[in-house]
Amino acid sequence: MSFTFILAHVLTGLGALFLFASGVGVFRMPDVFNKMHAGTKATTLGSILFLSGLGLFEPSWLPKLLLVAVFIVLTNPVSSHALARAAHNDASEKPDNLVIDDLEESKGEEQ
Amino acid sequence: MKRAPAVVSTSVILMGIWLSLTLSTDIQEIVLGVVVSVIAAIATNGALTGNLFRLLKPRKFIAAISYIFYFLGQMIKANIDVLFRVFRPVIPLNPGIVKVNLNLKSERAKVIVANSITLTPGTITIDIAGDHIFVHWIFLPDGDVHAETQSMVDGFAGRLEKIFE
Amino acid sequence: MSNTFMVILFVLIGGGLFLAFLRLILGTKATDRAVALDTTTLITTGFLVLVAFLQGRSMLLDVALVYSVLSFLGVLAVARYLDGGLR
Repeated sequence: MSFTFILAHVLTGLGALFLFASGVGVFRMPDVFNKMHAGTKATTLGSILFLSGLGLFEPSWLPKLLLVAVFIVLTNPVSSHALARAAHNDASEKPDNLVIDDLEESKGEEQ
Repeated sequence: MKRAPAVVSTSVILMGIWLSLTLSTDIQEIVLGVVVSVIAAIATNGALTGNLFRLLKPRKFIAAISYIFYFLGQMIKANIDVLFRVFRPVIPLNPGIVKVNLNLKSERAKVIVANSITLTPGTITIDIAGDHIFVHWIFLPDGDVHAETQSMVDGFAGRLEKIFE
Repeated sequence: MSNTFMVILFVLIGGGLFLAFLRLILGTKATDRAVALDTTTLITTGFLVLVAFLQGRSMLLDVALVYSVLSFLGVLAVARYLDGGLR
């Protein structure tokens, strides 16, 4: 029972928990922007923790797994922005529960 | 030749990716990796990473490292927030989109701020238009919403200004 | 890694994958489905790496890497389409 062994268990366990939480969040949240909160944040940290934890179990895989994790951190927010813009630009897709919506007002000013 | 430092830093980063993918010290593999990464860096004119040699000044290097740790701390906070929000019987929601100023010159810095905001507690970036950034809150903060959002954005932008300036 | 721990990991990741996939099937609007697709592909990447570890086949790591690259491009293409195409 070395320190690395325990750390690897903790990292993979927490990572799997965050991945599960992202699935639950995407299932339960009522509209597209709130789904995005769960689907972006929890999957990113969940993937980092899970992949680096498995890398500690199998040290020869660690560089490749860290490469996948870094790639996910760099690209996940980008696809989330693209989807958020698409959701906001389409009137039929946009949720109607927003308390404040400055983006809609500034669109009106431009036209 | 003005882009030469950017091209060199891009090829160094690509070479690092190549080495972690192949994991071999065979001379053929390494020569092939150098050739391919230099060709790719020249073809993209170094646009992938920009000039990384500026980061080698001690002041900027420390600023970059402290930014990474600040960002990781915020990200862990964000995930604990998501975890406790998702498993409640009724999810507490009070969403809204807020427009605030973002005074950064470099486009790269703007992208980093937008991506960081997406991964930190309770906020995602919807759009950037000129000097303004649109932030979506899952639960709007108490008090003056615009002032709270501005201070949150400035927390990232101020730290990045020391690196990019 | 003990068997019990392996079962816990599979249940957690499989559960998340199942719920996200259910949202992908049920999803009320197109953008909801796109967000669910993004989450599904990311969880699948983790699942592939877990299977690679269980079977000791490092080839599946390359599959996971290429899968995450292609899913990113796919989600960008879907987002661009929902935004009204190339205007």
